[in-house]
Amino acid sequence: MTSAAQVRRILALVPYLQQHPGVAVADVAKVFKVTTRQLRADLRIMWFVGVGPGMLIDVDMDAVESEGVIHLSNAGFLSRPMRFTLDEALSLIVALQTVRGLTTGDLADVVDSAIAKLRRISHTDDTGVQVVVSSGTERVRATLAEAIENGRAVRLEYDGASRGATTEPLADPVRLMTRAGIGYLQAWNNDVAEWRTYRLDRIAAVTVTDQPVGVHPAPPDEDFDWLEHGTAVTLLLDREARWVAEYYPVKSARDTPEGLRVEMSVIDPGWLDALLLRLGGSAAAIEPEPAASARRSAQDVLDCYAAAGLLDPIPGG
Amino acid sequence: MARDKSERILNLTLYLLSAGRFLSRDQIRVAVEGYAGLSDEAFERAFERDKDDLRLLGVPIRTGSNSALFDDELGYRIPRTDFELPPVEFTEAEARVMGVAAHVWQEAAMADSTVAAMAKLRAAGVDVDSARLAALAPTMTAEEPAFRALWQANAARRRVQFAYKTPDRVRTVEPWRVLSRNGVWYIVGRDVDKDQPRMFRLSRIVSEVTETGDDFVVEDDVDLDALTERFAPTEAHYTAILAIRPGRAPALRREGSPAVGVEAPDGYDAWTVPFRGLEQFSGVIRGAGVDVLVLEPAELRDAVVQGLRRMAVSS
Repeated sequence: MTSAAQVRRILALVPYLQQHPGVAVADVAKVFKVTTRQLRADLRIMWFVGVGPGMLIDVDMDAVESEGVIHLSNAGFLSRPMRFTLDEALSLIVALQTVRGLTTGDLADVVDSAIAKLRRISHTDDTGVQVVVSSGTERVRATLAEAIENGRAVRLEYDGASRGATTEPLADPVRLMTRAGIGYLQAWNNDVAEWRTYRLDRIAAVTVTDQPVGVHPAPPDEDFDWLEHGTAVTLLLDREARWVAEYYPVKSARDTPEGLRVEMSVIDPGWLDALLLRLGGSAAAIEPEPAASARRSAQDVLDCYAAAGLLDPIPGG
Repeated sequence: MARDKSERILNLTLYLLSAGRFLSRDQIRVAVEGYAGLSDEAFERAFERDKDDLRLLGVPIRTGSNSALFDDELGYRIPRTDFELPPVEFTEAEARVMGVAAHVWQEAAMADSTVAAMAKLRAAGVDVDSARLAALAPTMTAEEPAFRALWQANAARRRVQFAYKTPDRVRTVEPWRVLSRNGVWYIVGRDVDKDQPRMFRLSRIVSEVTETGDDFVVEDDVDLDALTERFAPTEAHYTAILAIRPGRAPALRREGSPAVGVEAPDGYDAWTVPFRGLEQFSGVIRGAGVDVLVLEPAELRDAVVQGLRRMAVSS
């Protein structure tokens, strides 16, 4: 623990403890995200701090040790916290802009007014940071928020992850969340009886039903680690395909003379097929099976073009 | 040692804050616990370092003199109005969304800053709801190594240098805005050598980001929103006629409309769909496999087919 972090914390602790007389040591530790041991060390320092000799802050250390609560006195000279540093103000404003990306209507107005107040007290009339979350349409978010609030199941019109058709799952929505700048709905899919996440920008429409949401096991709280599941596939990316390593989670990426070699984890072989088709030869799978599958898929499409009379003869062939 | 230092810096802060006037070095040396036993030289060193540390923490130490006539002796003070968080009140609903915001950052340094900011708000009597709004769980990450340095240079309005895309292409940039769009971090700023606004993607920076030591100001006539918009994906300019299997490729169908009077191959419907860039759109169409064929324009069809042929013959 550097003394800078400790000084910063104590300058906030002194007014906080005056605002909350008799607060429990454990609660304060939670608010300031430190151990109770660290907090006790902070309190012992406060004891030796004041505006001058003989005018020191008085901490009731007996109460701290015996009852686990904190009483502070003789600290009126530090009754307000310090101003935000620029870093603090901006980190909080970016966090609120992220929240804003998921909200609509009244709640969005609330977020905006909170941001405005923070800007005012931190004197950051700042347009230097901006967050745009990909979170579908206002209408979809508003309908989902209402359904979550009222505990109603929804019928989604959803474009699946790989190619293919729209699905229309009946889902019990629980929360809107973001992962890496993309907005998702977390919901219980009643058709398959499992928790699922749906990208908000792929939800074409939502209809609220009369059906109340059911009782389900707790949703997975932590990020599902895609990299730990699925089949490992190694791709060799040409220059035009390098974006893949930035866009999708990869286990490793390293430059080789043949191109950028990335290891990915693939759950749905159809998804990998679609990706390789999209890249049109600027990426190749190292493993024989997905490589052959992509080759077959490319040939299938070419056959369709040929059958429709849309193909010019192969140049030179 | 660290403990003594914390004590001394805090005592210095409170002494300068409470006096309400400029205090000389001699007064400070006598009054602040921790300076008393030091030699002249050791005191000077410690005092200079402590001032620097406090300024880094954002404590506003002003220098000046109490007398307009005798300004020979420099004094120090911390004006209370500059030091204290201004009065502020948040509604219950605002406090709730701030409680959600407190959990957003997943990046360590940014999370620390948010914790510190929330602690200050609580210390100011704002009752920030620590329980999340259960229905909202936004998170924000910044894994690009260049993020921290650019974030700080943007906040402090300082020019930076970095290599972009390849190690030999070094850019000097004024980072006007740090921007997260759909989870990707960018900076919008002025490329100093080109004297043009540019957008840079953080993940394509291939060197350390260093500050050049020059400050910058963003001129008043710069419209950052308009500029950001300019660098964003543009509206669709072209139109394709596609053959789409019934019920398939919903995202493409939603963008377009059924093409009237156009004959489609067996098992397909004809659709008119707008698009932006040929390369990118040909990739999207290839990704749809046998569900989507290009009828027009020929350039688009050629781009799609060329890619397919490259794949079909690859070994």
